[in-house]
Amino acid sequence: MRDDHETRQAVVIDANKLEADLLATELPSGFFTIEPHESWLMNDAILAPGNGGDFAHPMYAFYATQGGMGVSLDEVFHLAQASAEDGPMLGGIEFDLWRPLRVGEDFRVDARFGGLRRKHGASGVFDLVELQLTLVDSGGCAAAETSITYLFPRREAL
Amino acid sequence: MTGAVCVGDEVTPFTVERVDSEKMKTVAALLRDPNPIHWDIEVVGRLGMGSRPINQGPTNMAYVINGLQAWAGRAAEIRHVSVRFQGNVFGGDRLIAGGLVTRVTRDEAIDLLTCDVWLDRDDGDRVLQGTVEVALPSDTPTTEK
Repeated sequence: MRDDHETRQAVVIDANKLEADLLATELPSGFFTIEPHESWLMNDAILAPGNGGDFAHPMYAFYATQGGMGVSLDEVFHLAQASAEDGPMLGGIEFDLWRPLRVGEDFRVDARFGGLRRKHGASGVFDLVELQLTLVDSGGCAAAETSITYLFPRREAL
Repeated sequence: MTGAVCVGDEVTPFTVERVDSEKMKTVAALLRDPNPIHWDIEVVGRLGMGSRPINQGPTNMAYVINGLQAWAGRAAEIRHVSVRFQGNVFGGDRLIAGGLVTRVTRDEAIDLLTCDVWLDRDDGDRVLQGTVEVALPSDTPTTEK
């Protein structure tokens, strides 16, 4: 018996239809707090100097948006007709940091899909799916805007 | 050395002597990242991606920002970052982050620097490249010139 995931991969994924579905998907907003202990642990893990300061590492423009969006990464993968077991990768990250982010700050995170591009590379077919996220502070102002591009191998796609 | 930043100045290289696989687990937990390639070498092998855990792309990006901040000084503000991930970094790899100033826009208060940035494995493979905009108070020298 083939499970749902194998069945999904075995059929041809229509890139145009999938992009239309993603663009039409309304993602719920989420929330993120830059917790001091998590900021400390992250700085330690990414070898950032100067741990313990008032400001979070600039990479929190990514960590807070991906971490605080109203859906999980697994749900994002599922909406893109993929799963963590497919070996999805990050294709790229772009962000504007409108001001430094403070450790301890609370944010709302708004998210929507930005598009899908199908590519044919040496390693096969893959889809680049863009997610656009905004970090909104307690005053209602955008503190950061981030675009994340996920790369999904499509081993069975044409 | 000190002085105003100019187009063509190099960002002081930032070296990661050895990528620590244990730190990948911390990052995966903090990010709630379900992708097992960061901690399960059986999955890495099954996907044909080698035999060592694969570092998170954002961590590779953070090394580049760390290098820029170390060079530009504490008063520097990262304003914009855009990177493409071109290759994998594995546990145990040695990395060198670098950059080059390509544009300087000055006003009374700040110098806005645009820099090409990259991250190389010490076998020569470029695993990340992109651009960063960093703002400096106009009278701030960088740590290296």
